[in-house]
Amino acid sequence: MTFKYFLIGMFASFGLAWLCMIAIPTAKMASLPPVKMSGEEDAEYYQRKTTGRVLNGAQIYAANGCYTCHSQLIRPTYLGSQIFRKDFAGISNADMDTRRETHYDDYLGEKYAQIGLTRMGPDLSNYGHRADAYGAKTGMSAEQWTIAHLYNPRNQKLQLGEQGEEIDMTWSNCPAQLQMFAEKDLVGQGDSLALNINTVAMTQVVPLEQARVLTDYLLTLKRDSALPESMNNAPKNSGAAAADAK
Amino acid sequence: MSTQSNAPTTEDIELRSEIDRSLRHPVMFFFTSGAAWLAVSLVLGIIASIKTHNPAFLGEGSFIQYGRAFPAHINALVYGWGAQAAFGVMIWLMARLSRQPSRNAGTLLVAGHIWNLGVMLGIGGILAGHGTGKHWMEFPTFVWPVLLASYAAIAIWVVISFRVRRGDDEAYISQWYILAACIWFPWIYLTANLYVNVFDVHPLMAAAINGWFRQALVLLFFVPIGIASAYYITAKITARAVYNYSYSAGGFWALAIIAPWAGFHAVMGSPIPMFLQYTGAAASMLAAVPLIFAGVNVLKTTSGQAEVLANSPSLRFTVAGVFGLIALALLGVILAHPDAIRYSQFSLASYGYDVLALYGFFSMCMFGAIYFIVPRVTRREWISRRLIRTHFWFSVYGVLLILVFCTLLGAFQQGAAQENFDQPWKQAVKSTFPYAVGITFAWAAILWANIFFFIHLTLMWLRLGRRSSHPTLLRRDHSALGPHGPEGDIDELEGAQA
Repeated sequence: MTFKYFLIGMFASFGLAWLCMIAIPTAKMASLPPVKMSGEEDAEYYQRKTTGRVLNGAQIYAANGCYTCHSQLIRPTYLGSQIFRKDFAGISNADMDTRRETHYDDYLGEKYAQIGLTRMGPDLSNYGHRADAYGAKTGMSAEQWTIAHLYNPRNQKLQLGEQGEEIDMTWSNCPAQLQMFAEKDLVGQGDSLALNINTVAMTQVVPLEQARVLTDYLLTLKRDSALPESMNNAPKNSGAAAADAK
Repeated sequence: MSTQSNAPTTEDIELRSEIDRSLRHPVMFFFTSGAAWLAVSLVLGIIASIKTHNPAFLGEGSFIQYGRAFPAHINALVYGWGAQAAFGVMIWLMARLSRQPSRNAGTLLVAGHIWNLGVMLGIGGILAGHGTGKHWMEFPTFVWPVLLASYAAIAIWVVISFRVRRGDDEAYISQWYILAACIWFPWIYLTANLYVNVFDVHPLMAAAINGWFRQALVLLFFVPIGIASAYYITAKITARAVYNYSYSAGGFWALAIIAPWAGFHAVMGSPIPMFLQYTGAAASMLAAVPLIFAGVNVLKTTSGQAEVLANSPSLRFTVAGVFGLIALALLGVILAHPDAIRYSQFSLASYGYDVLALYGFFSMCMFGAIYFIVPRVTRREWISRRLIRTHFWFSVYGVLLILVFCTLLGAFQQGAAQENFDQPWKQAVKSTFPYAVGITFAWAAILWANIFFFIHLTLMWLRLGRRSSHPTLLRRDHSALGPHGPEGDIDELEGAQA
């Protein structure tokens, strides 16, 4: 083996794989067709707009390593059953079923798809819906609930069960993001997002900008919009059928 | 190579010591700063691991919270320790095999300092909350051009010393592996950073290329360097030729052809083209072939040499590393199999695979090389075989614990609990708990091993090693002269021999 043949072999073996696996697929993926809202011929296209605030939130999500424990991917059923897990893949109740696997359109507008490394924590693909539900059960807004959860993920009061009973949350090993909060003097009526915890008189614990931006990003995670090309779990006319039953 | 059967001539000995002397400072700088980063990485790894089962450890919300300590730990392991150990072995091995003393120790040292500065800024950036969130590429984005530039200043001399090599035209297998790693690393690193950090690509492709990058860095940088070192050390210490030269050349080209396709299975199930996911999985499984080729070839070279294996620290670490290589090959087959991916993709398994690759295989081979190289470049012998034995056994047990807890039992139990969708999520977290504790213990054992290694290595760099012509062996028997043979100035003793 001479140096010349070595170099030729190296460039051929790596170059071919590089072209087929990196260069060409990336170029193809850059020009994916836009997604229609339904299967009809003249259906409208989804026009996704991702605001700068959401991108900033994604950056905070990345910088604090949320992706090391939380995934954002609902895999097809041949690769796992998370689509059936409650609240993971969309809303599923008597009236509607929006569950579906992740689609390439879901991440559009973001810089990097945070698919995640492990599921030490639950999947966050549809966190927005979950936060809405938890907030409703505990009498908070989804935003308040999320901020309280970031402050103390092991807070028992944040998790109320079906019948209003508290659920044991002490097992959570999610890190509290205390660096995103500060104790500040109470001014006027106070901050609407201040935490409901005991503090020194005339002060309150308020989320800093980071926590607010991160929360706004997390609440946008609702990846269950109806797409004609992904599998529809709901029986045909499920909404209408449920209405008939009533 | 002239050393396999014939006794070395005086000229050989002079040339070798000239090469060793010319590279003393860069090689020792890379090894010692690498070992320091290894210690940093292990401390961060222990902190991260404890936080998975005891999140309030050392306070919450600080710069060492899990989400920052864990990426910092992996990046310090890859770029702080792994890459620097590789650089040290690359430049020394290439100079020795090409029989050319280095004339660029100054450049190498400057580049090494810049590399360390880059890693330091990167780790600091991650801990300060400026990580990019792309695994193995978490350093703030300004760091990668710095690392690439200092890499270029190091690797160019490796290629040049190969081009100006003396002696017979047929190069040794280790040289091809090192040369290949020299070319693969910048290609992989540049591709990943350009596509993920610079070009405006689809966010999913960015994530997929990140997965490819991690696998490629293991298979096309750490694996070839580790194999190059293993071939050299075993042939040198057993004083035999490599068992089968066609196997080694075949293994090399099989690796070159298969490995660049691997890695996309990290994002299997995501909406990227199907062929990428399954080609990635298939190539990751097929990569077992070149790895096992090399592993068996090295082990065959050492067969029947139990005595040498028991005595020589270099050979013992290298052979342990080669067993790590074979385990890595088999684990690659298990974890990349599409039926296993439903359990392993989002469990501890991928972390276990990384640890086995970086520590169980690569670091063990590097330790073997370091125990061989350092006495030669410092002209002092290792101080204590007990320190070496501690380093060896705690490393082996630590890696075995991680392999069992993290990758096999823990990963699949965790994956199965995640799949059990009728049960609350709490089940999945709880089932991981004992393994998380086990991983902490494993890291503690590895840290214990490496604190002593770091101290030992630092003393050697300060030239406080034993002045003796007798290497520090791991045997237990006592002789009248003491465990290490006659004491005295190494130059005089060697002069007397020559």
